[in-house]
Amino acid sequence: MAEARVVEPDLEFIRSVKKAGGADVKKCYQCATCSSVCSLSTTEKPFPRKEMLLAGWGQADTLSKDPDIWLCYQCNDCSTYCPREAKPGDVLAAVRSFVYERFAFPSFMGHALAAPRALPLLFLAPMLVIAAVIFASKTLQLQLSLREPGLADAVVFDKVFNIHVVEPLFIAGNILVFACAFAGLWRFWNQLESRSSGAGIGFVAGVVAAVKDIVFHTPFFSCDANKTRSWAHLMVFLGFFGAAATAGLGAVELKLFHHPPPIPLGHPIKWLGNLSGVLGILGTGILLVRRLADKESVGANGYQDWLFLIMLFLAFVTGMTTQLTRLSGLDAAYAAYYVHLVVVFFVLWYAPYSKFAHMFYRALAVVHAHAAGRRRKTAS
Amino acid sequence: MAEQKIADSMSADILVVGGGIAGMTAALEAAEAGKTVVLSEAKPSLGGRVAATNQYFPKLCPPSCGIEINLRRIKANPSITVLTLAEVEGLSGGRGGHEARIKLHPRFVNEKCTACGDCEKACEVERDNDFNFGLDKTKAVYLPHLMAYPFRYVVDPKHAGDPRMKKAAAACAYGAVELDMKPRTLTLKVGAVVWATGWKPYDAAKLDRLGFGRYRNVVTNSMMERLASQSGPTGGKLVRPSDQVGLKKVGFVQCAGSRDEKHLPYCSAVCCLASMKQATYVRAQYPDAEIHIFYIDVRAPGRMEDFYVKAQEDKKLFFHRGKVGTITEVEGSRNLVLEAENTLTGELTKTEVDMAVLAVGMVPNTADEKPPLDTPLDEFGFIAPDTGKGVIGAGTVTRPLDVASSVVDATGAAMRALIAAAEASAAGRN
Repeated sequence: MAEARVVEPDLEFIRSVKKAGGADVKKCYQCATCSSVCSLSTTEKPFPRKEMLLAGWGQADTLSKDPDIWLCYQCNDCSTYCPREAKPGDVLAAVRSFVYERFAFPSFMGHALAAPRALPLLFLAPMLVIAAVIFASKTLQLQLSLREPGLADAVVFDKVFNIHVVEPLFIAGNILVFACAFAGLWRFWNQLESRSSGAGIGFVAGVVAAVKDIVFHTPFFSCDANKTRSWAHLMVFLGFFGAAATAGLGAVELKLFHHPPPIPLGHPIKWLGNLSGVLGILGTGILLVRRLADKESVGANGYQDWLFLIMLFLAFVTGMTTQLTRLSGLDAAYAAYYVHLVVVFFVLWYAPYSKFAHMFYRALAVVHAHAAGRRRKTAS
Repeated sequence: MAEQKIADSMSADILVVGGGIAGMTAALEAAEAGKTVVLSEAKPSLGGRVAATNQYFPKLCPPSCGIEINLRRIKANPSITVLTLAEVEGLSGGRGGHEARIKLHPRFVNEKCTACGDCEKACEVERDNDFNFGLDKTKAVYLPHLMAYPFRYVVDPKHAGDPRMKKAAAACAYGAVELDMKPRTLTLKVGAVVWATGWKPYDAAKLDRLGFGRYRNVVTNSMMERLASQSGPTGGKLVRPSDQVGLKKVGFVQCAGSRDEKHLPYCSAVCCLASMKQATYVRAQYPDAEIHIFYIDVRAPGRMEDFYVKAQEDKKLFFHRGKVGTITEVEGSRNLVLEAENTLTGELTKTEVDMAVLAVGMVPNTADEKPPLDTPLDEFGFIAPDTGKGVIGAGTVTRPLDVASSVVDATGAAMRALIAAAEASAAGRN
């Protein structure tokens, strides 16, 4: 027996889990059907039964160190078979939302993303920043008008959103955001507890295994209850990274080859961008529709779930709208681009504190799990 | 009073619906208190689920123990009229007097039957034996079970029209097999009604991850009773269904569908003890067999705790805290792998067994077959012990009970029925 320990429940934590979708956590009677039906669970110290107990008892500290909450992809096989309808899948998702908030740096940002009442302020910030971009661009107008006179009447974003203003802002912003994300993740990594007694495979091999998991979506596809979601998530995943690559390659074109945007339609980078846009719209669209239509297998929807998914959907949709209006020569393209920039900055700048952060936290937890030798029971 | 030529219209003080242990007890208690009773049973024989049990609580008695003595008392009591293959189709009235419309389904075998078995030998048609949960077959003309009352053959109505049955009818030296027998309906005026239609096991096929119906060596606890019973499909030799081989390692899956919001939300209160009891069947035949019981909580109420303590002393009986979530079959050996988390150690376990017994719970028969009168049922379909309409629930149709408690409950129901019948009689309505 371990030494006796007084369990001190963190009531605020229990409340936050209940609010974020884990309303039925207290119904659990610890039968462990969940651990047994979960195809992603591990042979040693399986989940989510132990997490249900920890959540019900308000053990916030233990849970935020627990890498296993990240091995769950909320496919809801457990919730489907839970005899108490305690919905372990939803509870784990709610605990993850709590973790974004807990490790957030600076921490007020974590609270802001978790609170619906802060939403207007969160929108206001990128709106003002992009407005400032327009203002700054105007003052640089003289230098720009020297360029190709034929474009005078066409829609050229450069006229309103000067690339030399947008780009440094984008890059500097991203560096800041990644620094903040890194601070949160650093805290997280140092907290993660290895629960395995078996020999691990080490960090590097862990990274390789994790990348394989993430790219091929292996864990997603081993679920039963919420299967259609696997393809949708893969689409969003590819769409997002495709779009990010497009932006990166666009910057390379500009800096190295001095080709200013827009990139011509026939160019491979444009193809990549458009393919990513279509995948993103389809993927987020399917996820949104399923959240609305098939609540049973999708599970609970917390504020963070909706916020993240809707913003991502808008980012893809406004991106495509911007392109289409621009090609049609409509002045509305400027408005569309403004909205697109606001949405993109919203998604990127708040990434470390929103559900977006699952990308970092989960990736790290999966690396940790592989490195520590946590073996998925279905992987043999 | 033996089953006899019944008039189309009759009256009695009390109608008892259901001829299992509760119905038999209620009928006897009321009759021995001086009332006239009609005992109406839907099956071809009295005895109900107790007759299909190998041994029952609390003393591990064989069912002959309780049933035979009750049958003797029924046979000896002229105040009881037994109807079998009887279906109560309509019930009108209320407290103070009822009128019941009862349909008597044809047995296709008349009272000349001596149960010699010649028809059975000559019969070429077979049917799944529902008494043994389909584990074996009987002829289409069959004796319900060895303690059947009336002790008379019956023809499965599905096969009565089969031309091959004529051969079986012709084999009877007494002219007892009447394949053209027709149903009849009779009306019955009574002062009170006892509803004791009992229970059925929860449909294990609905538990899709537990493999019942897919894997032959996954059986239910009710089937286990038949497998252990001398009157069962194997003559009491405990073997697994796929290859009739003896048992070396058996797994019991507790709460299979019970305490489950998607199946039976309640606890049937007897399954834990039934599994421990069935473990004694295994132990009696296989002293070295391993027995593994997977549970959420072991529920052994009251003095049944003693039985649990005794079970824990068995060195080869292992209790695992953790519900079995998944059962898979091992290709080739047809063994089964029970997957569970041991919640005391936090390890995922895979236990390979020869046979898995699903401890399914009790569903009241009123859940699917509502009583004809507007009788209040609870959310799970159990009937109230006193519905306030002169229909009195008794036994497992009121709540999950073991056999002894059912008997006690039925005695109480008989008491209520006596009062209701006396009221009806005083009001001159019956």
